[in-house]
Amino acid sequence: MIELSQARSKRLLAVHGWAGTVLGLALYVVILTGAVVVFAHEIGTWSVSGTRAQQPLAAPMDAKIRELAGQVDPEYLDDLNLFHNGAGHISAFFHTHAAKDDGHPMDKGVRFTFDPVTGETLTRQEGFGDEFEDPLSALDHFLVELHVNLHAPEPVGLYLTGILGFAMLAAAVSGFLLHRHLIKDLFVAPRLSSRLLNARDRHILAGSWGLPFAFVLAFTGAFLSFAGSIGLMTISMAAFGGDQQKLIETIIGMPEAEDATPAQPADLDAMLRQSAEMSGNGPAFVAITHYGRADARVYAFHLAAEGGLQSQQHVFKGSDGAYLGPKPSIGTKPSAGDAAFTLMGVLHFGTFAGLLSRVIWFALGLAMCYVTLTGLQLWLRRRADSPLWRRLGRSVPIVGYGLPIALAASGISFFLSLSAGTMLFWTPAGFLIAAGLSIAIGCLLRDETQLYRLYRGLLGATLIALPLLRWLMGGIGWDGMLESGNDIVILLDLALAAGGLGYLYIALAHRREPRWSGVEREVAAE
Amino acid sequence: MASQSDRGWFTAKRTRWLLGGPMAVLIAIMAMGAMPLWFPTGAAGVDHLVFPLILFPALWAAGFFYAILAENLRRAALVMTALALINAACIAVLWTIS
Repeated sequence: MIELSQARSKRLLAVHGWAGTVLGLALYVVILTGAVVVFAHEIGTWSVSGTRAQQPLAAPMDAKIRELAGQVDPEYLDDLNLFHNGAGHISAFFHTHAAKDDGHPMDKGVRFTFDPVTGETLTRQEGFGDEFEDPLSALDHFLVELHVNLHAPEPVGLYLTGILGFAMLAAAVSGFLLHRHLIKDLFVAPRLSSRLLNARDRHILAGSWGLPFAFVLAFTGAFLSFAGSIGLMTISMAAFGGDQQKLIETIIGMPEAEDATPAQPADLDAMLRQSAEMSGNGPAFVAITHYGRADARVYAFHLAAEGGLQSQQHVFKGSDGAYLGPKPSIGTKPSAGDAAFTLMGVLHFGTFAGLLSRVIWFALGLAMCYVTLTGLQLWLRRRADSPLWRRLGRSVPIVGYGLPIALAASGISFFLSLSAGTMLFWTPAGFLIAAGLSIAIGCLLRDETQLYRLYRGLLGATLIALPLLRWLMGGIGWDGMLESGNDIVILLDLALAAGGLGYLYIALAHRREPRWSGVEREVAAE
Repeated sequence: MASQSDRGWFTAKRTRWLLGGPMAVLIAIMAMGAMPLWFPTGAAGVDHLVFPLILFPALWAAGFFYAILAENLRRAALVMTALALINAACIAVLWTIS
């Protein structure tokens, strides 16, 4: 129990209420999309009806990389990044460090995509790193970008989500300080004496259980948004004369002395096999510096294996394949800074205990959405006498239901445009069309009960449409998924169908309105 | 308490807004920029660069809630101004030696 003076409590209450009210709906967008992109990788795989290679970068590809290296300007052999999309296609980006017309540093080179199973080259694109397109990743990229920067241009988007992280931190800390009976609030039974008291008790109950989670997410999210934008800029200005590249090189680990003597690359497959044996899973990302030179280095990055906490990175000498040792994400040897940096990522993405921890993170994310929306509703109900607040109150169901409907619609648009290959256009377009329709429905339909039923019905229908369209457009049923080891696609199909059926049931079932035992009266809603 | 600052434009409410809003952000940014000067470099020589980035949200939250909860606004204004000046001096030293 925290004792606060009346004046302090009043100020904290104002911070808690206004932080949630002014930025509440934007916060809801970031939290809901954050809960969804906990499964971004799985959504990517699901959207293309599974992958043929479960660990694409563990497949033999040394010969293919040698073949592709012979097709690019030698200048682009300076750096090579290897990564894969949800369909299991490998991208090989041969590049050098260049600057765009506005002076902004950007990698420039040639990016190939190829199928690791057949070895067939699928695409070849040349230009700056931020110009390449991958239509098959349109859905998961769209969702991730919406969460990370609300699709605003950089660095404005990162500032926006960072400010929302601060708002969530302010709401979480003030919510914690305001609790008069912290333990009791964890087990409060929502009162039935009035609608407002019932809503307040539900908000307190969900908020009390979600408090540590809200604090962790707000803190790590604000760090992730601000570190790469305002953080690097500030520290580089103060300690590196404004040279951000030098700061990044110092943090990651200074490159060794150069040796440009030509040298045949060692067997990449053997190095990656050794790295996978040490890490317990195949690489998620591979970087090769100075390909074809005596000072070439191969960095194999592995996500935490099932049951493991930390990701791993192993370094090899590119010219003879000698193992040089593990490399921390930060610095050249293990340090407190590296451990803290790793912990921030692990806590934000919920990857500390495999799939189970991510499912828990998803569920807690949905609980925080509930806390945000019920907090907003409480604030607005207390001010229901004001026409302005009443009009603003309409925005809660519009955004509350409109956002998940629009997210589902972006998936529907993705599938419908799959055959034409226009997913990059139609995925965001579907989101915007559905968002516009949801807003129009919310503005036109005056009856609140009807509005909620319609929204729930629409959400249920769009969720059910997703697995059906995946099956119809992707052409692969569950038996094919089981054969190729794509169980996650079946799981997502079932989860979406179950969620959709649940919402359709709520929309169609005739439930009796709760009867409040007490007379509606003014209470402190927050 | 309010009478302490209720002179002219700087009412108690506006002063608290200034301290909890722009001042808390300014101090957090300045403290982040000044930390590499005094924070231990650690085993890999990067802790003094990484921890300021990680602690930035905590630096902001500390300044923000101090401004919100302070009963004596005059003292809070003095403390926060002093912190800003100390961090500015640290940044100046860092700038000179880098």
